[in-house]
Amino acid sequence: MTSQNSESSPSAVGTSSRQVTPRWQRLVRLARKEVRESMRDRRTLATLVLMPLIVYPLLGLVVQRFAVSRVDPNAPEAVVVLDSAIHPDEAAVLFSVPDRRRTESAQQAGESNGSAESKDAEAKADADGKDSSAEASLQKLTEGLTPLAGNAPPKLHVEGLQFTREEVEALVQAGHADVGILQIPGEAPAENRPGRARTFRVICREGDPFSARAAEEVEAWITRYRDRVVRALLRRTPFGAETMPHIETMKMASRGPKESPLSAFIPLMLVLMTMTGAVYPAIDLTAGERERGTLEMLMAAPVARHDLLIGKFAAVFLVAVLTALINLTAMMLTLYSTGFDRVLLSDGLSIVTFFQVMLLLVVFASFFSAVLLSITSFARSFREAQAWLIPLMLVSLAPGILSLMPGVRLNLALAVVPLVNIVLVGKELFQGIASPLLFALTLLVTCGYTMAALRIAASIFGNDALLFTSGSLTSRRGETGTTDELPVSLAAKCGVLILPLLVVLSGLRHRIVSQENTAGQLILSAGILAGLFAGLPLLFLKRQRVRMTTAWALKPFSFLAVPGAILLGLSSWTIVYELLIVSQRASTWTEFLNNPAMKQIIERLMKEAPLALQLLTLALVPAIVEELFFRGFLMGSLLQRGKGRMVPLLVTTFVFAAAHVVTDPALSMARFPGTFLLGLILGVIRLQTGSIFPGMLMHFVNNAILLSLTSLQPLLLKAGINLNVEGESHLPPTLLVGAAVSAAVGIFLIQKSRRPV
Amino acid sequence: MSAAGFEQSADSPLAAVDVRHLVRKFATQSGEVVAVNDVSIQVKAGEVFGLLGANGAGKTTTLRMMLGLLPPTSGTVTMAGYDVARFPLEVKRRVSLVSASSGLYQWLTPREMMLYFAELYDVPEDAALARVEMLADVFDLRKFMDRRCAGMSTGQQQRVNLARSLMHDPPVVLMDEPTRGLDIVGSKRIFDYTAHLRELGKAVIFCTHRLDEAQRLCTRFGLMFRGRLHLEGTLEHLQQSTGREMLTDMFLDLMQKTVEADAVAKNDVGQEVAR
Repeated sequence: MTSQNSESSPSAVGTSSRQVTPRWQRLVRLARKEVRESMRDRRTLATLVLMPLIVYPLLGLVVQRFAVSRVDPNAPEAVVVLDSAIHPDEAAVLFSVPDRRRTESAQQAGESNGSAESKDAEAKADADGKDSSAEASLQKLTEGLTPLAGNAPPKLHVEGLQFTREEVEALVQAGHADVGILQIPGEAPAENRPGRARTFRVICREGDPFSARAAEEVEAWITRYRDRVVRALLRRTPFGAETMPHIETMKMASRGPKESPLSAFIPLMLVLMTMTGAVYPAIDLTAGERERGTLEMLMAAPVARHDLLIGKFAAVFLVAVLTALINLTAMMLTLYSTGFDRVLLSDGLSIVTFFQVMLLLVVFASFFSAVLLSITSFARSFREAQAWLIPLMLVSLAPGILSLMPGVRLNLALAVVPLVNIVLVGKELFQGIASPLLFALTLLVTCGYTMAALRIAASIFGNDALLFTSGSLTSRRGETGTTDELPVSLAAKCGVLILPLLVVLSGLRHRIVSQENTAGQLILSAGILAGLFAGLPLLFLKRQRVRMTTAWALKPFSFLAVPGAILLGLSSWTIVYELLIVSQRASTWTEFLNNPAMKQIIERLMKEAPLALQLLTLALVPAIVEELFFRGFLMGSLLQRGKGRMVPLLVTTFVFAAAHVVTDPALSMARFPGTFLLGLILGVIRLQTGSIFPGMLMHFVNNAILLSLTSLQPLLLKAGINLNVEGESHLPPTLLVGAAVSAAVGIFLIQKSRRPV
Repeated sequence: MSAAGFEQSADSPLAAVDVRHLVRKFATQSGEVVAVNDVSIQVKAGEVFGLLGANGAGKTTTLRMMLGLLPPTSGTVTMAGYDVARFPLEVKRRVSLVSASSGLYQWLTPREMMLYFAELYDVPEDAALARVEMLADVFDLRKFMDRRCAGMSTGQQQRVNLARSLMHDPPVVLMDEPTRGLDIVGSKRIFDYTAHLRELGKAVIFCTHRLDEAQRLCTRFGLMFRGRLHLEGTLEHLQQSTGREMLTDMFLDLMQKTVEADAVAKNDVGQEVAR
């Protein structure tokens, strides 16, 4: 393993006569070149500086236009609904009272007149209501022209219809109205008094900044109105105080959309922009080296590969952080200058938010830079690297979309999911509701992922196998034009295609054949499975002219493997079943992803179709095609890399289990442990027997038993085994012991049937 | 010529390059391929050894094993007195690789690029600065030392690359098809460079499939065919042993003989070569 030796640090090789520069100093100098190289690149600078300078103001403009297109170009109107207990006349007066300054000047004018005060204030206001409403609209206009337009309160649109108290509350909660005004009756007024003691209750939606600010505005209107009434009453009678309306504000828990979707969009946007910033330098410093032919010179130099990689990481990280910083600044400035911060975020922007989000983005930048480097490191050219990054970007969008859904909060489980945690923390930081503990956890976990990704990148970067694949040696085609070579990239491409197609086609299945037609559903489902797991790989393999017997391990096997596989299949389901039950109990956090409607459909499906059809479509077909793809194609290609049997076994099994979770209609994590174990057994059978067929047999037996458990129940009961399938309880110990014995014999037989490779 | 921090003569044994019984096998699905089969080469300081052969003969694989980029299946490589398997970094410090396929960093200037390589090879800063000045003169780079490499002509880029390869004053220089894709002027520059290296007392291995140019340039030759080093020696020595005047003719004879011998043993491989 000389390649391993070349990795060792200089000190280990004994550089006695040489003056040794400290490692960190060397790393800094190595990084300097990478930074210099990427900073001089115009394309880097374009994404770094130009993009945010253009994107955010433009975005701000668009949002402004879009959000405000209703009446007023400056601010959206808040809808105010009134309780029918409020007298229509009073309501009309209420919202036609100009603000205090104007009231006072009007008052002064009135005093000099000496006539208006003698009249009833309400009546007076009622009389010149039209006048003052014109005044108010003038006021609105001038407000809109103040420099801090965004901080101006929203315009109020008072709904003419009046509602019952319950209706008002419902309208506000559902988000149809932003503010509601209720009138709560006070103590019964004295008969001879003209006024009515009452309380105006202003209600708004909790956590909705727009609604809250509109409520403030409504309160201000009522206050002005009350002041005016008070003044008028005090002049007229010394006992008018009791007719003075009280004001209180109450926040309603929201039932409708609570948060602005834009508040989740902001961190997503920042994350995406940070990604874009890092992409270019990452490709340039890795795949670019290879493409320009400088990588070979680097490999020939006496410097450890991971040192080179750290230098490159530092450069990509720096560019990403700068991109994040510029983007965050540009975004915050845009929000602040357009006033959208107060529209979108309940607390507005603060310098603390800025630093918190920046910290988050710095950690994210380190994570994404490392991930990028590990992907671009094995690309042979710029274009190949770009092709690899497109799926990564698409995958990265998924957690963003999750976070856009209102009401999704960060929890302990989501805090360890890469990217999801970042976007969710970002959203909550902007909303001012982030938990410090989860914030810290997110940072910590992401740092851990960074380290892992860096290790992967270091092992890939400049990898000998990739640097020196010589065309003449690797592809040797026989006279028939077929090859035994099965590249991992082919299996990976195939898998990348299969997964989304499977999800889409399974969804389409319900559209093509009616839900009621259970048999049709099952047959179609099996057809899709066969087409994707066998048909698609077949196309790939034919195109590459790979010999089928090699690609799918269609090899002869020892006869002993047949009883071995059957015995293992007869016993494996017990463990799979137990694991399913245990993990289902343990995984309460997956509940939110579970779709009960889907579960019902599946269960009904199981009950209605004849057992033979179920066995065919849910046991036989999956057993054959899944083995062909997973244990045949995928595992075979991994085995050809010649890195032992453990890695291919674990990778194949992981993909097998993960694919089952992802394509499960209920997205149930509970399936993972059981499927993983099954995959492990199937993988070992494939490795030991050197053939795909025994695994197919075992897979079929396993599936078949799980399917027919319901039908077998009476039979088992007769045998004294009580299987409470519906209750999802544990299996009886006698059965487990029997399964263990059967498994032991099965393993023994499989071991015996081992073929020399 | 000897910059501070280098001790090229102190630990140079008789042969600067000492390759013994080098074997490299590659495993493929259809079986094992022996890319390099029992190759032994010794090159002294001041010698230019021409490692010759057709494409796929195993020349590049041999070079890569010499540099420690590829572990040999068996055999030993000692470069400038250091065993490659045990001291890969020490070997890399004393060896330079020149290849036609190597490029430049487009966004750096020649000066920055040369200093970067000085950094990679752990050359002390003052020595590196002095060498940059010297090599700029030798390769006539003065005029564009501080311009970005992106805008340079192919010839200028080639000169920068050659200057770069000497930044750490290596006692051994490996050249892998250095004239591939070059015009007459470019090739001439490579020949001058090689002659320059010989004057400096470097041990040079010159890998090429251009037998005519090798004949003009090298002091000793080794003809590789299908992973084996078949003929080895000075031109006179080879001419005497084969009775042929030109290297090209010797090679064609060798090919013919090997193919005939193989055709008896393996029918299918013969067809492949004949194609």
